[in-house]
Amino acid sequence: MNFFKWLSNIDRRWIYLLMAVVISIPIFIRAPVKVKPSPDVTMLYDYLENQEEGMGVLLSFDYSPDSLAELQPMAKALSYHALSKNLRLMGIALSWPSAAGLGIEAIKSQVDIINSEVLKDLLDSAEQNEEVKTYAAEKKLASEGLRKEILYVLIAKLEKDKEIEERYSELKGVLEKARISSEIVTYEKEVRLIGRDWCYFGYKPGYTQMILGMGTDIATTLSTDYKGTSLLKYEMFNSPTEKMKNYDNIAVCIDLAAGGSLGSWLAFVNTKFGRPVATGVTAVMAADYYPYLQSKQIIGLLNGMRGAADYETLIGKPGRGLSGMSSQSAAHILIIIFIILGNIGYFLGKKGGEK
Amino acid sequence: MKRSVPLAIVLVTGIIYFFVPFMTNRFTMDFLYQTILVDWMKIMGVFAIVMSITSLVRRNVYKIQRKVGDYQYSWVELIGMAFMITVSIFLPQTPLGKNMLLGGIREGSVYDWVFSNIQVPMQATMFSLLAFYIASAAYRSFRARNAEATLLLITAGIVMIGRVPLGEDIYNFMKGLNGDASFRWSEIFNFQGITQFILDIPNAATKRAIGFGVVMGMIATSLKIMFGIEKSWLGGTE
Amino acid sequence: MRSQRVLFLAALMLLGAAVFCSTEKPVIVQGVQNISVEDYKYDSGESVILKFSLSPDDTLSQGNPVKYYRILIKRGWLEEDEKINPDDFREIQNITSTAIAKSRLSEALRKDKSVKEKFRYPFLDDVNGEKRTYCLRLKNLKQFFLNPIENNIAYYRYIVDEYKVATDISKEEKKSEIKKIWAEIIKMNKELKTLRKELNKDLKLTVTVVAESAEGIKTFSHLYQTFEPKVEAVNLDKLSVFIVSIAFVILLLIIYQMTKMGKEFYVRPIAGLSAVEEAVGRATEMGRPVLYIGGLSGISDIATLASINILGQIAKKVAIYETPLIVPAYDPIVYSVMREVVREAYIDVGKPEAFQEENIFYLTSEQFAYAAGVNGIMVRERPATIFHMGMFFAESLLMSETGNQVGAIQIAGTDAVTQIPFFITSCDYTLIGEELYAASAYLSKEPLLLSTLKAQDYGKLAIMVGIILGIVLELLGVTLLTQILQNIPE
Repeated sequence: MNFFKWLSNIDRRWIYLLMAVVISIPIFIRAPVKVKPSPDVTMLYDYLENQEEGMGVLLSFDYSPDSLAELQPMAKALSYHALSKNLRLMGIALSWPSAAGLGIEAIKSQVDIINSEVLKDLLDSAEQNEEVKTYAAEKKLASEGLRKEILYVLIAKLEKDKEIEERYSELKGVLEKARISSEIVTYEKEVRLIGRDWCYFGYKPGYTQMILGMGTDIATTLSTDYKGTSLLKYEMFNSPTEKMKNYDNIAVCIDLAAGGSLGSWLAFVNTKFGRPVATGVTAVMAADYYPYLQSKQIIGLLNGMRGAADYETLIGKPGRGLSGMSSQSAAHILIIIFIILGNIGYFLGKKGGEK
Repeated sequence: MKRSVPLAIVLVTGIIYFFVPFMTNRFTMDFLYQTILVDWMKIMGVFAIVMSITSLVRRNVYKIQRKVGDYQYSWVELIGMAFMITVSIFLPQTPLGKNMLLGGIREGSVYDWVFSNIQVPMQATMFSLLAFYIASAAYRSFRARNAEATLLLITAGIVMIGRVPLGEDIYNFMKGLNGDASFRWSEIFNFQGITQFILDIPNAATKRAIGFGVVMGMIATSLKIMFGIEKSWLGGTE
Repeated sequence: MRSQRVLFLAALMLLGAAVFCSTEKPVIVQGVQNISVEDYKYDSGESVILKFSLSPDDTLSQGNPVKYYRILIKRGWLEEDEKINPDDFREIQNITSTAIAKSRLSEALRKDKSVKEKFRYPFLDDVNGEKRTYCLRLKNLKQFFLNPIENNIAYYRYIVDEYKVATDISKEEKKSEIKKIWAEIIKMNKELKTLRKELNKDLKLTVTVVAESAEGIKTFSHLYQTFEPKVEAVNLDKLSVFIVSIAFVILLLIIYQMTKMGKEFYVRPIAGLSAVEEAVGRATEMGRPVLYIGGLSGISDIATLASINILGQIAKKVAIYETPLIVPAYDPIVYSVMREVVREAYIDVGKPEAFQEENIFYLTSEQFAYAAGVNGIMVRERPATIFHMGMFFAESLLMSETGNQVGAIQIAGTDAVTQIPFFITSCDYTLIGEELYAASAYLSKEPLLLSTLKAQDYGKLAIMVGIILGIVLELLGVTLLTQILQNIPE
């Protein structure tokens, strides 16, 4: 009987310990997981899949670093999808200044991935070049780091980014000598460039003001991007025919939120301007947003890490979301086991007590 | 006077803002909403922050002076605050080594470094604690004491399995066992489908039902304050 | 203007080049037919609904000879026999024919009443497969004319910024250049002001649609539609919301008046609130403090206001027993209000000397830092009673579970639906949704305040009757009620 009593009153520290063990192990084992994407996620994926090239996608980074684990994989998967479909990706952080860094990390990492895919042949040949090899040996750069630096220099040439070119001026010289720099021009149409294929506005204070203002004119409302460059300098905002004027040029606004920010997007972008809105939220608060899905006010809902895993499955790029799934599975099973144990203890302990 | 002036302001502005959502002109949007609500709020926020910081300092100084239990933590808080304010506002943005700046809040500054290497991990840690707390809270309270509790228990179990790949594996396994039989009993194990149903239907329904009550409560609370029926927010009753 | 000329020239050159180079005749598509404009009913007079029939050459499929439809507008109405100069028009929107083909309304969507027409724009209406009318909303018509100037101003300001950081010119030069640009900016600002005034006075416009072939040859339709968007002072779209709101206000005032005249209403008891007295008493007996957490949202959130009201009531009870009351605040403005409320409560029960100002303090506005801070207070001060009242997010369980660990009696109340389960598992009593708003009235035990709860109950009753009636009517095939209610914007 004492055992059952113990079973229904296990010290919480044991639970914490087991939980820690169970969550950590799958991270090291990296067991492959498969998920079947849920319809709420597939809806958004299909919507983006059917968009015409050149339409905009706006990601709003309304989360601070503490909910990064759940929302960053979503941001990355969505960015990758939008960029790979040749949709023009925009990002903004409105709620927290601390989200500004997360946004650029998510978008830039995916831009780099796609660009290195596009430039694979060029990067391969650059890596084989003798002069580049000596440069790498000098700087003690591994293959991955070297490719990244080459990519930066090549893209900076197209983007005319003097800051990057200055930072890697040595490599720039090497690449120019090796006649690799000149080849990049042939790839100009295929690579994703800032201001043409993507843009990140950084943190902009004044939540409602910004959301409302973007409905009229994005460039005048936000005025600069995250680096402080005037938006009017970018093709995306100054081209007479293909410019991102306001929400009409944006296929969907996706709010990645750890708080109640979705309300403003619904009230203004959906109701006032009549444009589609979708959201990705932390699992703790996801249950709040299902009614909006039903009323068709949002066209997609990514629910926590599982939502990220679903999206990664759909675009065929496993990332942090999928790899977190095994930990999550294990944690869920552990909780279920504990609940069952607690109930066994509760019932048998009660019976014992009655005797 | 001390009571009637605020009450009058609340009543008048309350009535004006009641009509705002039904108006269409730019004046309501630009002036009543943007200028008064958003901009004034920001200005008031600045004053309130000064008061807040004063209160924070006063509390910690009080604790240190009286040597209240664990007063050492107050030192940590005060020093931390002073440090962050100093580096972000008072120190010049001179380069510190290769990629560091001394002052300012730009990328690469000391402030930024402390933020991303101390503040961010600490906050993420707090959020992650949720996993442990949920486990122990669920273990303690999910007992099949009565019919409702049992229902809650079963629902929670289904949703937990349905949200992870394991649910899909169980379903596929059961489907294999079921084969092509006309009676598809394996559907009971379609955890993901049932989870989706629970989230879409009962969950949304309860959310709406509570929502109705909440909205009614919000309107009633606002009206009570507007008409001066509720005066607790002014402090006291009379 | 200049850019348009350049464009026009470019188009001419293209045309010339196309004629010159190709042996085949370039495809010239037919223009659009029928252009009509309707006023958009729910706005401040800045948008209209434009409808036009597609070019007869438009195949709405791949290899479409029509590439673009360009919508051009100009200010002012056309006089009779006025010579039309294409240069007067400016393009407000261009739509690719593929986008139009994609927006074709299916029969199913047309019949789906849950999608209001307002949300369908833009769409292609093809009832008989022949009409091929494209409907879209032209928005921000005033802003459209202001934009060029505003863009210029923004650009000039940008140049000023560039000058400020420029290092390759002397200081004097810098100053004089910046001065010059500022003069320009001021001039443009004046221009902007006058234009805005003019536009507000009258917004007479003329619109036309140009079809453009895949080769870039434009065909003017020679159809021009003049229009003037109407200003609706009241958004009729929300009329039903307005009526319902007014009805509720009247109901509340009637019940309030009836209570004033002596009528008594029964209000159902709420367990969590009956326990408040006991919980405060327990803290006094144990000689430990009471901790009050007022939620994590700003003063504009009504849940916070409700929480402040509850704090006022609880502070009075606490003041009577002279039990310490700790209130860590999340928001600076909320902090200052809470401090005053608690101070007044102490004065109100005649114990101003028991009020300890340093116990009501601002903690932090970072969500999890706040949770950590509150947890620290719980562990160090070991409060006997903890109240969680107001709006909570993901941190709710972190705080309530710690409260449970230190063995406090916990009473929670929130309208955050997702956090209610967490509070239920870790607190002794939980006020769900509207009970949070009722709490202050309950605790004050004032009949006048309690009467408003009755109004809420009647309001809810009306909603329930509406839902059931709607279901029954819909099942019987009568859609009147649903249609009326669907006029309520989401």
